[in-house]
Amino acid sequence: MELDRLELRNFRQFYGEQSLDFSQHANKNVTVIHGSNGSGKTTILNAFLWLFYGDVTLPKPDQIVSERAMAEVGASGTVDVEVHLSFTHDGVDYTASRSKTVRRNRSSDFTGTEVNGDLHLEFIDEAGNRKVRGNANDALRQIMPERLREIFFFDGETIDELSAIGGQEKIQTAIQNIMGLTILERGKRHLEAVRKRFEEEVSKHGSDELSELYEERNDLEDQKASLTEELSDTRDSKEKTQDELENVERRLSELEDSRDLQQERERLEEEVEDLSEESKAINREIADRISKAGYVPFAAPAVEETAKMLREKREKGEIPSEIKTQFVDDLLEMRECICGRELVPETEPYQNVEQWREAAGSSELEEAAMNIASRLTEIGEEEEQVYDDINELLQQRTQVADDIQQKEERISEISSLLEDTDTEDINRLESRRKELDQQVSDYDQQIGTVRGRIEDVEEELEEIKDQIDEVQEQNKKADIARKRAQMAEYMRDRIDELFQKYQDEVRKSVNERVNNIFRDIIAKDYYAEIDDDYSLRILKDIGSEETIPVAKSTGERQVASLSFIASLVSLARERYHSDEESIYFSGGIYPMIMDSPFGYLDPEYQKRVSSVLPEMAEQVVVLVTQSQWTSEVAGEMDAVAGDRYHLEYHDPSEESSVEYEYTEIVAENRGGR
Amino acid sequence: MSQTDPPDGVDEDTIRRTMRRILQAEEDKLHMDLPRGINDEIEAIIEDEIK
Repeated sequence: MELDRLELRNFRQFYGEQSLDFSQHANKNVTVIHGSNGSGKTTILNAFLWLFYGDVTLPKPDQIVSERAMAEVGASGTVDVEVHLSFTHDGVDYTASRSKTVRRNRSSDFTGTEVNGDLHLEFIDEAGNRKVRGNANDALRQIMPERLREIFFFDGETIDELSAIGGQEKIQTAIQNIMGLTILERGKRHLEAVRKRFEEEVSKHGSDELSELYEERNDLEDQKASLTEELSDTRDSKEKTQDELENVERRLSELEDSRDLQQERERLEEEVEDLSEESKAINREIADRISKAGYVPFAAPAVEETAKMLREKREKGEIPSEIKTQFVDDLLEMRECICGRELVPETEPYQNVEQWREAAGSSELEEAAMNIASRLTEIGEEEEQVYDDINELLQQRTQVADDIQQKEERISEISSLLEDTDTEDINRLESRRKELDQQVSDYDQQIGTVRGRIEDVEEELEEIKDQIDEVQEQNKKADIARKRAQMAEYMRDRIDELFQKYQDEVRKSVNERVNNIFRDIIAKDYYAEIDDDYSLRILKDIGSEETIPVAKSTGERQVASLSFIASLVSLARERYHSDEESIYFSGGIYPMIMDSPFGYLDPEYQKRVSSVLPEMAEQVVVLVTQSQWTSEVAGEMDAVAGDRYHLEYHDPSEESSVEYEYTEIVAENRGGR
Repeated sequence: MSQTDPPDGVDEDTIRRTMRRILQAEEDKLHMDLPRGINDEIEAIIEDEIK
């Protein structure tokens, strides 16, 4: 950033319009502004703060507007106050202005009430066009970060605080900020927060549930395999028993005394089987009939009511309507009634005929009503048919059941007859046959049970598989979250490495520069250093390369602090001009604007500081009191000051013609361009 | 060397690009004392890079 011109309008004691240009001369890069105590040096420093950050560090901070300007407008008048700065940053020309209009409420009011305020930032683009930057507040803070305000706009009378106890944090923050390391420090901190977020996501989605589900699925699959084996074994046993049963029955068919009964039984069994099939077919037909026409009996009352209503309407002649809409429309269009009368629109006859249209029925509606009436009759007839059909089927089923019962009774009777015969072989064969028949029946039951259990297990397996799919989906989310958490952690560590590396590098580099600048100013065998804890210390050489900390005077602390700021600015400048392209550790060009830099220095130190000031930054602005503007300082400054201004303070207590204080900026020497 | 390793299957290009995007997001909010929404932005960058 290179300062060009500052313009003030009714800002504090700078009444009316006042301006000053900053020296941009390579060898005369210092701009000096000197004036007596209270003349407005600190106000000029605060004009920068007000422009960039919207506040001031002056007494009565709300009283921004010139007292004299307020007095001149009278009660309820308004005064415009403005700070306007033109500067160059990163090769782009900017003009920034903060302004506000203040209304005076009464004659004793010199603060006023803000009527409106504005912050405006313009720049010249590459094509040379003037453009307005949106969000001027953010843009200005990007150009001159607020965290750096104490470094670049500093008060010499308090700057020694940097080297006092507790100044470490300020020094560390200043180093990080000015060198661009804050980006790394913040990135590290924010990545840690993001890593935690991803880890929470891992906890949310990840679980041991999947292994439990796999275990459950394996158990079920084992159960299914075991049941399937049991089913197969039972089928085999049934088959063998059936084979034996067939052999016994065959033997009974072969023996003369049992042949007829056995053959009768076989025939009856076949008939029972056929009848059972018939019974099943009847059941299916009943179910089919109910599913297709089962609604009819339930809908019958509503159908009957609707049919009745339509019937009544027809009887009354409402359906079909006597007059058709089309007929009425034709009459109106022809403008002639059926009685031969002329129908003129908006006359009574016309309106009378027109009213018929409302009474006339829509042909589509009437057709639909007639269709419904006819369909309702069909439904009524269908109801009776449904009842008849189902009753007939039920009767058939009862008949079949009776036939089955009759035949089974005969089968049982045959068995008893065979058991009661006088032939022992037949008795034994029939007993065995009954046993085997019972066994086949037991096997059938067993097969049915096992099949049922297999179906249950299969159903459970399907459910488990669905659950496994769902948990696997969740686990995928957990895996990706885990990977992202790992990435965040890795990024954090990489950034931390960079941060530590550059911070250490910068500390060493600043340390060396601080000492060089400090020793250029301080005559004693003292050294300045920034230790590992970021304390700015002054050491004394006691020989054999050993040093000890020394008690510091305010002046020495001021020199050490000034050396520190100067070293930071020069390192930032060096990084800015380096070829390395980086978002962080990028440095920058900054001016130094110093209020009372010679505050506590004795004349010798004042002279020495004056001699090194031009080297401290590319551009230096010095605001100095009259008492500090000694011949030694003036002598050194004359050689390096491109522009020099004097603040002409008009004090009402000393000038009878002056009612309210004000200051004028008076140019003494202009050679900074 | 980093204390941690990058996730499996993430190449150096992705790491460099992610780093650049994160630092750029930080730079864009550097002027703010409390960079509102920066954690959301970094989270979105990592989600975008690691899918």
